[in-house]
Amino acid sequence: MGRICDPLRARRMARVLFSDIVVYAGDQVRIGLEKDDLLERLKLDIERARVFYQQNVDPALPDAERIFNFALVDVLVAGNRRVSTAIW
Amino acid sequence: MRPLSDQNFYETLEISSDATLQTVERAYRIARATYHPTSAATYSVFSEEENAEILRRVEEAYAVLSQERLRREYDARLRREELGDTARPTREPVPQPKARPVPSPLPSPQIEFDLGPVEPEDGVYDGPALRRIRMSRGVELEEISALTKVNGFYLQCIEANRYVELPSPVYVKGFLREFAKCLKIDPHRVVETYMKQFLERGEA
Repeated sequence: MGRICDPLRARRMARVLFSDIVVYAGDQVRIGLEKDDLLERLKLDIERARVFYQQNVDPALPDAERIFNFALVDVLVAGNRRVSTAIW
Repeated sequence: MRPLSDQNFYETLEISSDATLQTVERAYRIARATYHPTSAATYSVFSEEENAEILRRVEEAYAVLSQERLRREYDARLRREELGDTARPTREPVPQPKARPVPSPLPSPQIEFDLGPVEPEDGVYDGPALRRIRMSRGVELEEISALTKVNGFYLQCIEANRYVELPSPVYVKGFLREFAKCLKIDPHRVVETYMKQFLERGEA
């Protein structure tokens, strides 16, 4: 299968990667938000997601990194606004 | 009454956790009759979708509680959850943020994220292979669950190769077939190779 060149498909893949982290490690996401150590706590999961993303998305795609980071914030952080935390 | 997604299987069937098999069967028959689309008891109370969701939940509850081995494992998980473990015997794929026991800084319970090739080179579809294919297709687990009507918890168990938490083989075959169709891969091949591992390792 070829690498993804379409920004919409790249965005979708990034969102799937982070929604998987929520599905499989939902408690850790919640605790990470509560303790404000989300990125550190999920460092390995996020790195693995990043490697998978980079393996499947064409590096020539403009904004590939930004798409990934945006999905991280949108799914892991904004998607869990109900969590009671000092962050917001 | 707690929302359906928060109920455990005993609550769904409205029985106590020490109910006998006869009680489970009786409760199942009553629940099925009550929530059947043609039932006068719930006509106009629930929408068709709600009825279907309740019935699906009832079927799942019965599938687990009517089998001694599955029920024993399910009870064990319920007890662990009561003690604050993170195992989730209930069906919701994502736990809601609510008052819980003191959170422990344990490592992520996520299954190892295998970064191998997307399509298995040996043609053997195990859980991580199915997960990689799903992610490469850009499909969320919840979407698969919505399309196939297979409980998200069971899909997670399939992807994590948690064989002991899966129901009897006949159900797993059906789940796999639907899962494979969604991913546009050969259902026959997926069922054949996954079930081989399931039957070998699930019995171990």
